[in-house]
Amino acid sequence: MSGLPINQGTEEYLLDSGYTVTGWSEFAALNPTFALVTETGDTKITMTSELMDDLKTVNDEVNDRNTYKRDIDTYGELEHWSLMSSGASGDCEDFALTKAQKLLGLGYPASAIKIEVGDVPDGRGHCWLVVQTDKGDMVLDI
Amino acid sequence: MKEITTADKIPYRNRARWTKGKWLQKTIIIRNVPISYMKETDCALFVPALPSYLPTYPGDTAVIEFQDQDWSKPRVIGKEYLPRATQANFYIGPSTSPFSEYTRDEVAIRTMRYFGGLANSRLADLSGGNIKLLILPCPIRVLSDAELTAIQSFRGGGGRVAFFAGRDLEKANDVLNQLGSQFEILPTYDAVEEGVYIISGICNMDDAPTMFWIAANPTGWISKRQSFWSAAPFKDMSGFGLAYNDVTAVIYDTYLIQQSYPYSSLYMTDIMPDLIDSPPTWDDVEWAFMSLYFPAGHVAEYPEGKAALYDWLAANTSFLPYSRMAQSGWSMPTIWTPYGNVWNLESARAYVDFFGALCAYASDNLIVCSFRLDMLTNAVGDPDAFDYYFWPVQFFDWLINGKLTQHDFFQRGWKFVPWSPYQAKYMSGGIGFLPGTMTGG
Repeated sequence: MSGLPINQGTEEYLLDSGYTVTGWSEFAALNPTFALVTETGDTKITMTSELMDDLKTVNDEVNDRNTYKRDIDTYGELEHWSLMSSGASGDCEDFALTKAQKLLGLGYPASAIKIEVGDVPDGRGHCWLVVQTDKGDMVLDI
Repeated sequence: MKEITTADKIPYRNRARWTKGKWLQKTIIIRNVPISYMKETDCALFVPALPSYLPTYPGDTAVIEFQDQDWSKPRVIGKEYLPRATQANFYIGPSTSPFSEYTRDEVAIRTMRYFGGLANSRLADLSGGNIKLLILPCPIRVLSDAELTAIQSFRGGGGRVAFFAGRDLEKANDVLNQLGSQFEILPTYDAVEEGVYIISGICNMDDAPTMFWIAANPTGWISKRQSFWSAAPFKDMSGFGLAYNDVTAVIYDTYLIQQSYPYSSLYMTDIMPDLIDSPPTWDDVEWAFMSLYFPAGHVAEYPEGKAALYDWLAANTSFLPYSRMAQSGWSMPTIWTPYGNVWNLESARAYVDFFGALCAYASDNLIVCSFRLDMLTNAVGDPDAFDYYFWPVQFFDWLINGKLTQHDFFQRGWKFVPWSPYQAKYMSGGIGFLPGTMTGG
């Protein structure tokens, strides 16, 4: 072992994964005009203190005012993507969508706001929001 | 409450991002990842960095597993394609030894086996003084204790024997002709089993047209040590050969029996310092000897006849005091490798795990020594780590009779001449220590 830091020299790329996310597809069908659905651009926004403040505000606000609840318990479905009103319940993707909605409402471009899905270390699926900035991709998680 | 963080900080895997109307996957290209090479017994994997003037000799493409999905824990788990032949050595030996009471290692007998991809080589006539040395690449696998025991039992405890097996025994006959009275053929049925076993081993040897085994017992040497051999509970020099493609024969022998001398292994790093301080006598210790003699090896060509050979040895032979490398506070020399790059032995100190089996011909005047560095398992230094070195027999005289001092080690201006397939094929002349690098320790 050379003992090099594991991140040294790493690079990340986005490649077509070739798969679909059913909940997102259903959400898009129900919300065809939602900006993240219609947006096909891919940009970064300049990181400023104001942006960071907005990200923290939106993240905290949604996390504080909404309650995590599994889709199966709310809708009787394993997966149901939806926008939450303040005080409503939802699971991870609902938090992410709601945060995206608020950032869009603040005037940030949809081309820099990305829904991201993946697996947590124990293998369960998860969803969160990413805002692409010139200082890195910022994660808004629950 | 999750704080805002950057995407590279989150531990999520298999990430995909809705971008440009698609779910795009995060793919991470990892660079500078530390690699833990397979052990040489798994067939050495290395990609030698050859100088530009040497022919391209590409290495294998490895399949690497990141253990526990942790990039800091890579492990080579296989080859993308058939591994090319490479050179390595490995040891076999019973985990329990009849000499265990004299040993501090669980393995008292370690046998190095070398296999080759050598074209048109023939075994030497061991009865003569015309000695040729051949280096044999490509390991097959390590025999299990049970297999080793079976082989030893089959041989019946020593003597001049040979195993032959495989689909083409013509070359085996050639070998026999060369071996003359030095060897005998054993019944082949066991050898065939061994051959099958090897073919199905971890190295892909399916294309080996011929396979045979040889247990070598240079009679000259044995006769010298007859009193010991007759008394030893396990006596025999062992070995086998493998025909691989055009290879016709390989003999190897390395062996160590220690009767009462309380140093157990072939590791000269263990033995030598003690020998210097308190040299044993031949009655106290038996050494491991290995023989690799070929009359027409393409690797090395030495002068005909004893006198010329000894002249050549006098001009070219030397020893490499790797015993130093096991001792703290000793400086290491820098050498040129057969690839033409500088190898700083100091940096490799921690990786030295083997200091050669002593090799001997049935002569008082020539001893051949080999050594191995644990290169492949540690991915350091020169991958061509299985060279052989000629040592003048005087070294052992000095060693045994206490005439050798540390001063001798480092002030005699020794040079060493490693021989390897690479060197012999691609370079002329020997590789030596850089002048002045062997400073006193």
